[in-house]
Amino acid sequence: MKAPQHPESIESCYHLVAPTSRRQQAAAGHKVPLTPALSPREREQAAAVQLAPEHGCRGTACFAARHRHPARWAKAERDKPRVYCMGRCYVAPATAGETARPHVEVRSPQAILLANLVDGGARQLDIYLARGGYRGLERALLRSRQEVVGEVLDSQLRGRGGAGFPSGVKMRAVAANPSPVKYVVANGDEGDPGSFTDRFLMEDDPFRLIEAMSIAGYAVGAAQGYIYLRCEYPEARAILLEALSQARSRGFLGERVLSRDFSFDIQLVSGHGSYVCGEETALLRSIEGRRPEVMPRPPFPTDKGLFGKPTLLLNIETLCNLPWILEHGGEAYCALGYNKSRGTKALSLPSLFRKPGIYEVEFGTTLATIVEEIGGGMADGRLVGVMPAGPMGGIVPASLLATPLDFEALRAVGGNLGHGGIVAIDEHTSIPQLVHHIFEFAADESCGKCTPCRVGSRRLADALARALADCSLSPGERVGVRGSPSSTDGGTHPVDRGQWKSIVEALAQTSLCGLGVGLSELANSVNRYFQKEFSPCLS
Amino acid sequence: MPVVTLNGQSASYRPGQSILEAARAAGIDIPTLCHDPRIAPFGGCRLCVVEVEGSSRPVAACTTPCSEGMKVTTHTPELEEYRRTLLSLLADGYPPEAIARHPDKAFHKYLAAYGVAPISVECGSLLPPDVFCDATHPYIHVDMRQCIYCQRCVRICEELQGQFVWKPWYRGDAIRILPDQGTTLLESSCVSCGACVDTCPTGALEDQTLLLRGEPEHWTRTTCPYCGTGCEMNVGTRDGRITTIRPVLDAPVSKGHLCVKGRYAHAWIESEDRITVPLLRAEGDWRKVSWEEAVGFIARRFTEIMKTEGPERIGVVASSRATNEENYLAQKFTRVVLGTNNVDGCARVCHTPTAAGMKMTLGTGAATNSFDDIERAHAFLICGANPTENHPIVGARIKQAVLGRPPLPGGEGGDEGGAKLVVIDPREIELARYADVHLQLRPGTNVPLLNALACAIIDEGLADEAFIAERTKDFDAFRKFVADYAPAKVAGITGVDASLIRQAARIYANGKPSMCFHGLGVTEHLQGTEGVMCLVNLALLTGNIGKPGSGVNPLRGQNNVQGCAHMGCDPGILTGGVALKEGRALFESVWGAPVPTESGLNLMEMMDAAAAGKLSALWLIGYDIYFTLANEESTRRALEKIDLVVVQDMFMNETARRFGTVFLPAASPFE
Repeated sequence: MKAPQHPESIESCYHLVAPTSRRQQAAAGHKVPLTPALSPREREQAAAVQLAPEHGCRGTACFAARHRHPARWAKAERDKPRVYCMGRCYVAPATAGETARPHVEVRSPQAILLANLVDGGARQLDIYLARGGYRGLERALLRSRQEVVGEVLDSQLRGRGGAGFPSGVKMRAVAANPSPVKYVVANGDEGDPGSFTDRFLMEDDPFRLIEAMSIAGYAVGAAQGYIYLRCEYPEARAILLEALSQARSRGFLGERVLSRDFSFDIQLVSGHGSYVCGEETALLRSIEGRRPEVMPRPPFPTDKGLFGKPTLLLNIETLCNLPWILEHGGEAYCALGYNKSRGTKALSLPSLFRKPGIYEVEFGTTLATIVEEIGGGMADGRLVGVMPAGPMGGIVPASLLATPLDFEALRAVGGNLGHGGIVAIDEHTSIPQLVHHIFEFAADESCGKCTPCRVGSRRLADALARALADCSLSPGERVGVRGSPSSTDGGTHPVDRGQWKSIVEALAQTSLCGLGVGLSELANSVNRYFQKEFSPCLS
Repeated sequence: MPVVTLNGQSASYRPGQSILEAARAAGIDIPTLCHDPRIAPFGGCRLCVVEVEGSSRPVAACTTPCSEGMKVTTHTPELEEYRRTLLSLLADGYPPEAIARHPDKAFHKYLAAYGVAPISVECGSLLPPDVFCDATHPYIHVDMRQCIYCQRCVRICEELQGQFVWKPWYRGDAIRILPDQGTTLLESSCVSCGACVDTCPTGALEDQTLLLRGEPEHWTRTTCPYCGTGCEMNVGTRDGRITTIRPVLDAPVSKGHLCVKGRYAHAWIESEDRITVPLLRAEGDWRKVSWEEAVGFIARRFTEIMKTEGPERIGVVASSRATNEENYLAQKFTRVVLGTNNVDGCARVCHTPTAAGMKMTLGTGAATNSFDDIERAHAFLICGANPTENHPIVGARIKQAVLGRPPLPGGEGGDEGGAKLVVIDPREIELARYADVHLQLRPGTNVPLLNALACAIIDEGLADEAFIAERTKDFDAFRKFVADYAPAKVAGITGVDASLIRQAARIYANGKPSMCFHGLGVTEHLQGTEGVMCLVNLALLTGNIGKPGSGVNPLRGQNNVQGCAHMGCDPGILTGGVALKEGRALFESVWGAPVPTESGLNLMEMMDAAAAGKLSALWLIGYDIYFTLANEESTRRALEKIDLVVVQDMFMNETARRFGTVFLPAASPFE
């Protein structure tokens, strides 16, 4: 047996954060229960995973743009650890050292999220205050907790991490829980390849996030917040640490925030490179210092979340809406939007668009407007389809671009909203190649807990790799075949149609979390819209 | 009771019960590979998916709690097809020879039931090269080619034993289950409880003996012959040999768990130095004889001594490892046939201070609470005992209570905080690592330390005044007495920091209910009885008596130490704890024979009598006194003067080797 070593993808593991309960300490390998060896501040400062500047990104946006820089992509495929998305999709195919910043623009009637980003960012507390920051928290603190929750309910704000669950309902559940200890957790694990909105919300408007978490903490009765930040965003980490320290020293965090009877502090926790940590139960386990596996629900985090306490867990963009909602009122927010999707949404447009960048749009804007007007169309190829949720969801074919940006409307066409990273696929990428890329991604990122995802995604990724190896692809386009000899026998190896169907069905119906389900959605949308392109892969 | 509908039939359920458990109770078998009732539900294998009306996708029955009126369908063609697909994924690359060899493993049975054969490696991915196979461990064989990653081993090690040996490393299909440290299981922190083997549904983890000797053909349910905990086990045999010993799932004490002793320590049964025929010492050497000759010899010699020297010159020592029946016969034989009360057992030796101290203070000399109270206690005081080594099942249960319990499905009942723990022991025992306070006192200073705890409790106003007023007497005298034992003063005597003493006092007094366990580290002292009384005083002072999760609880040694005492293997006490003087008449009428009037000699008195030339014969049943008694030299001098030493044992023990006249081979508990 080999001595256990940390594996090729940046290990999504469980060391850096000192576990708190005795069971957690013991599970994390501390034979002697310890008082946390590191203070909260030291834990924040502890070194995060660092990637070399030339380390290549293997995200879906970079994959879709690989023809722009084949050598860089080839290197990215070899680079260890594998990194799926570095939040630099606007220059895809990207490397870790890329320092260019994206274009940011507000295309909605009202700037709710991106005002500070458009104005060059507000990384200093004074700038944030000068631009009207902290009015939301001030208003919140003048009102009762119930009223604050009521305002969020009125806004009809829905979670921006993909599921679209009403945030006010979550808040109400945590607020109603009598537990004396509760937590607010910001999900900064923006893992969906192709999205980079949260990265720049954190980097260019960090105090908005801090203010938003404080509002949430006040509303639900929590005194401690955590920002769980993916390690692929080292810039955001440095900026957030500085912002937290500024906020603390100026009385915006800590005891008696804004001199009121409300104490709240925030700790930054760095991830270790696991996509699954964007899933809420895995994320909470990661903060606890345990192996980040997806946990069955119930119990829901609102009931038993971080360290077993009621926890309000919201994604970065969702939270960043709160200051505006508290300043202008839930009704004003709700006045924007479409159907059951209210307000605005920040979208990430990767480099295949002529005008890549971050755009704030009102819900209801059609995909056609987003692709053609806002994104300026494809830069150098014909559009095949868009993946509004990145890889974990369906492909919306070019023929259905009239679909409005709306949780329900996108689901109706077999798509998903996800993080709003609109990954465009152009003619440089065949559907089988795309499907293989995504199954490979899912197989690499599966936490390994449930059977369909752990084994099923890998089986299909391998089968697709064999099938693709048979196709006549240009050099550099061949996908590596993992763990199996390539077809030197000259025969063809299409994927067994029955096997494909039954595994996809098992992924859809029996997976523990959204990773397996998302794969099945992709497969089903391929079956629905791209049968002609995909069927040669099947026997 | 609330009701769910399972396949159209109504079934009741307990709140918090999962669909899987409710279905099992209703006789519906839902396939599952990652579930074990001993550990928290996991939801990993996904075989147990069922349809729930109103739910958009199937749900895992193991992790979904029942709710009122829920309509569940457990078997549809679709669900069965998902199960078949999942099984075929798990079977990909699985070694077919394992299925042929052990067809009764849960996974193998499902493969057969669903008609799934392992796919040859060609069709799936190649076997990863880094699969862990390891035969270095003396009891546990590891072949992870058979691992289906249900993580039952990982979880049972954590949740039942509290050892955290198995860990999942890596992720996705690169996941590997490996020990926590070292390159072999032997080098890991494994304590060989075997729980992982018992729960493994494939045989990836298997008992070495089972692989060598084959699957058992017969199972016998019995009680573990080792310590006084009383765990139940199923002994699997084939061709008259033990191939494996497994825990009994519904055993009230051990709750489906065993420790290394009960689980694996049975090789001695076949040890080559077992004595299997009676031996008689002839001119210094042992001679093999027939049972008739051996028994005849003993009978003749006993008769001679009784007649010529008197029955009071014979002593019998019974065994705490023998059954009630055997001990009853031993004391009856001594009293009725030999005509003396010179019968004793080790039961009277080790925990006599407990019996005496508790009888004096509480009225009876036995544990006040059951082991099931461990899960109810909010704090523990472990004094002079090392449960994880000496009573590992009790130790594991205490450890689990201290670590905090994982929640039930639906999140009910979880307790991440766990119970508080105070350890009083000069040594750093394993539980000390989990303790909130470890009072590492100088050996022999139990009494001042325990009095200092009482002093601190009174001092800080933590005493349970209502309980004291209602249930105790002479409290004022006690208060005055322990006032002399201020922690600051006692710190000098015990070497324990005063602040630690106060901290421990607060934990014990505020725990409520707080449960106390003690062992020979309290009793086997000059002040053993007083030490036990101090523990009782602490319990009384804080009202920790007569309530669930509280009490004073001795951890006893041999498996039948309580029975040996109860049967009357005691020079002054008859069967059932009846004093000789009070019960003699009744026993004479029942036995139809006279019972000697005078109290007999206990073991130490027998040694004194022997040294003084007043003991002629000694019959030792399963008790190696030369090896065990504290003063070997004085024991030697005493034994040398005894004419007839009859030793009944499984092995040639030291007493027999040096002093034995007759050796009677004994059967093991498994024979």
